[in-house]
Amino acid sequence: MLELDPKLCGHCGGCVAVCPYGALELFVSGLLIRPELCTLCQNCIIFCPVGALNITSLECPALAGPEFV
Amino acid sequence: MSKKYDCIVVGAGPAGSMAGKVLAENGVNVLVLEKDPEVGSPLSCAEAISFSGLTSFVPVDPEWISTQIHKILVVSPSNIRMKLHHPNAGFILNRRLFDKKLAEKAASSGACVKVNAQAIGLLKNKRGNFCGVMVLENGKEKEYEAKVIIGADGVESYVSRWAGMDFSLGLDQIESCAQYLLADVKVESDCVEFHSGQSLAPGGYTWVFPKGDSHANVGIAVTPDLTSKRKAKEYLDGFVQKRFSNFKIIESMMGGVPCFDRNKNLVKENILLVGDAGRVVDSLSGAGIYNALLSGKIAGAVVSQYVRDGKLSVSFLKKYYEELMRAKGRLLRFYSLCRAIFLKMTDEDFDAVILFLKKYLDNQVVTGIEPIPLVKTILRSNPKLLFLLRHLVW
Repeated sequence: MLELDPKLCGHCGGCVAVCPYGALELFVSGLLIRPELCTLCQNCIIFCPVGALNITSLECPALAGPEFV
Repeated sequence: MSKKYDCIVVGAGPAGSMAGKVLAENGVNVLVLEKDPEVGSPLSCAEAISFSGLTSFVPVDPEWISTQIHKILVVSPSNIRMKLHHPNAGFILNRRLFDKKLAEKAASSGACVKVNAQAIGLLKNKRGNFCGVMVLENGKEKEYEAKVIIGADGVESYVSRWAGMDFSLGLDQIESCAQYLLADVKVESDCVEFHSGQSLAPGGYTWVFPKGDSHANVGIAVTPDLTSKRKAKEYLDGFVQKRFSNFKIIESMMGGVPCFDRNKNLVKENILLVGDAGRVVDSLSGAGIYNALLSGKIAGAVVSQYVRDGKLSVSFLKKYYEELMRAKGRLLRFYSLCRAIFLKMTDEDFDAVILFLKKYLDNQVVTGIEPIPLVKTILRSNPKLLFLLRHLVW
């Protein structure tokens, strides 16, 4: 999962611009991450000038396949 | 019932306010939307603009000028220093005030400027054409209709995405920037500094822009593709420690600067993109204020003509792109090419170029130097740099 450190984030919107999947949205109140769209491609992490974004676990709802019982 | 406008401008930065001002002056019923509660804030900008760039758009008001620049210092990786003099090099603005005044000008010309109003989607009519904007205004969803929509919503442009004009920027098409406003620093009050070097700022440079009263904007731009694991802020911390013995960080900001893309569409049906949203930026320097003002002005003029005539087909709006390219296209494409060379230059190349220019330009008054002939001269003196372009040819 992608996680944001809101203390470091400066709301610049660069991560939104480099996200190929539209998984990030910037609101006045802060950055919104949509885990269901995020593929952990790390573009936003590489871009972020302050390191506010990090991957905390490899859990990835966007890439999870159908569940077989 | 939703309210109808002739044109909606999304974003009240320099590009949006300029477009709003021109439209309102031409009697067009225009709405300018700003998502933040205040125009001009939060800010991510180094605030420098050239003298001619600013004065060709607005009369200069000392209130929003921080300092006037007469000297330019360029420092190479191995500390070769070249200082240029120019009687009217440019200004360091107070962007917070500048943006506010520009939005005020748009409003006093008759534009409706709304703050706390974030565009959250485009409206389509039954035929599938874009016909308005959905807005989150003071926490409530509202709909506004318009004949034309101008996206001036910055590097993360949602308008561009919603209209299907562009999706995301590659990591080599954006500069990752960090900047501090420092206090108590010793800097020459009318001299801007640029420091280059691949270990100092990979695929970018650092800048020191004096803001008067011992304050300075000190920042860095790096190409994220070239920076291994380190962050722009870490590079900046290293530079600040090295450059200044005494300083106080009083503000920290960050941002992304898009690079010009000659293949990007700036017009689709009745949607126009201006400023950073349209990537109208000098790819080498990252300068965007002048380009934002210019694209906003041209878009405003073209849309005014379209709205006032009333009978023109929507393809008339393509004139915006044509006119912008006529005014600035050559230089924008040229800077893209320079950036391609710049990204491949080693520290030795930087040293060689600055050493070469120093012979002719050091401590000289340099008015009227045109960028294209200058770079041609540099390339002729150092043909190895031309060799770096080979990957573009095949």
